[in-house]
Amino acid sequence: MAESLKRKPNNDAINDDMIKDALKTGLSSIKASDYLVNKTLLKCQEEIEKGKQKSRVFIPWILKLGTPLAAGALVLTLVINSGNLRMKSDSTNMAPQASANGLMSKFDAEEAQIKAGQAPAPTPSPEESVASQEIVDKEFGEDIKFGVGLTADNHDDISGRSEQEEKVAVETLEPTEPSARSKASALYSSAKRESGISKTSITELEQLFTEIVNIYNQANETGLILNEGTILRVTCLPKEGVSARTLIESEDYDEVLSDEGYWALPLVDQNGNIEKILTVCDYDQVDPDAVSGMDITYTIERNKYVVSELSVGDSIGSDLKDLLSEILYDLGDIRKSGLVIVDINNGTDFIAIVDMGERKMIVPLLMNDGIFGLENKKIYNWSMFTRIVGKNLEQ
Amino acid sequence: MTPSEITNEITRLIEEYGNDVLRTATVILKSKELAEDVYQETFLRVVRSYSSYRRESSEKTWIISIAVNICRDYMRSAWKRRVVVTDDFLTYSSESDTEDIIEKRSEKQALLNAIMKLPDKYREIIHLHYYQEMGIDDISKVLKIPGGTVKSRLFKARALLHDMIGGEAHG
Repeated sequence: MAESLKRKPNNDAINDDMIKDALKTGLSSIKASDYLVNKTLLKCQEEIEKGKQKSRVFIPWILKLGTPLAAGALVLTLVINSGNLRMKSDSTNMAPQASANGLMSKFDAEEAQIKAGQAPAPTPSPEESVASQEIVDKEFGEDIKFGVGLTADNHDDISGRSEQEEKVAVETLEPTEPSARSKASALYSSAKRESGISKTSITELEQLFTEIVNIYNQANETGLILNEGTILRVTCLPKEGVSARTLIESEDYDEVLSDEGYWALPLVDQNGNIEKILTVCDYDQVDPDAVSGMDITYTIERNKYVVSELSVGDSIGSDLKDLLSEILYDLGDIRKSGLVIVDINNGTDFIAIVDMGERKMIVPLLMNDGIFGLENKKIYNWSMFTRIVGKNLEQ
Repeated sequence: MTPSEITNEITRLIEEYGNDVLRTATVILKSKELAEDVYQETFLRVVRSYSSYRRESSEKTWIISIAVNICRDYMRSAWKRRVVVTDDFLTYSSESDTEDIIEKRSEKQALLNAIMKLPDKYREIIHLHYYQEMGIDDISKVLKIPGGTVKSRLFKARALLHDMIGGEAHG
């Protein structure tokens, strides 16, 4: 039963029962027709069938909604790992070398499972988890150089807002089906991307992003905030994808990355909780087929940008929200950390790469745990990563 | 779960919560056509995210939350601007009745019309609270706003309703 209101207007002309009664009576005639029910069931069955066929590929609905969120989740997860690492490394007696051995043992076991046609074990033992975290803690320490860099420029105050509004056009594009180019035999990133992502300065874009958030807030009557140091750069794989063979033969991650990607903006409410994640990329560079009806284009200073939003209302969104909140809380400022975030599955699954020269740590940040044979948040080296994913793609 | 098990489960959810979804979308979007689109899209998203639903909230809260999110997407989109919105499509049947019943029906209709004319954020909260009988915590989850904001919006919504018809209906 709904909770009664504690405070009421002085004049009690309208009471709770009257409102309920009016709504119940008025809405009782609204019922889903048999046609609507059957049509919906049919679509759901098709979706279930599609999901069955694409179980290893990707989830189209996230393609439409989740690019930004997933990007945020990546960062979060890595941050969480880093934060937990430090805490746990202080309190545990596990030896780093033993941890490394444990990691390789697990990999060998997984490889054997793959050869035997079995899915890798989903969860590492607590010892392995702690051990893996310790490796990063010990080897990366405070020297991690993050791939995401921001300046401390303050762009909080955007003047001339009404003038800006005149320049802004918000339009929705017609929905499209996810591209059919996704195949289980290769890795693909989101097609909503722009080029030159690694060379583009986040500093230069900060004001643009602030304006986008302002427009978003105006359009949605929200007061969400983009904090400095939280903008994420998400790198994409080449448009043609990365085949199993290419992956296995690669010696380093930069051999399989493109210079394309997009930006993810985690937006927080007044309490600092992440409420939305927006992804942004240059409209002119985006494949029109990749833009869905859920995306919005913002026109600012004659340039158009594709902005996608992921709500945090559904269960996946909530998970991401929690994850992002925890990471940002722990890390405080992402620009001080070192990450290369790579979209490996159409905006739904990512890897975070920490590059220390000779050592490369790969951490999957997955919405679809187990996809490509990977284990969410586990630490891999490049060789392990390519072998597991390569073999999984070839199966 | 096997595909057939998921199909059975989705069928159950549609039967159990389908009308709640349709009514919620109708109140928020004030369009039967859009509400039917939301109905379909909601259950498609339920299919897609079913495996990740962790039952931390009730099924109803989860599904209504998805529906409200889709409604908000629609409201932000150009679709809304292309749709003719009507405030008075929720009309009671006009069977011949006694004068007293007709008067009460008229009061209900006026109140319903007033609810439908409330700003979006008040209309959706009135619907969730009084029609879906959700508590503050559940509404907070669905709308992703703090509990205090839920309470203040409810209070404000009631005050607006009173301003709109309270004096008129009760002298």
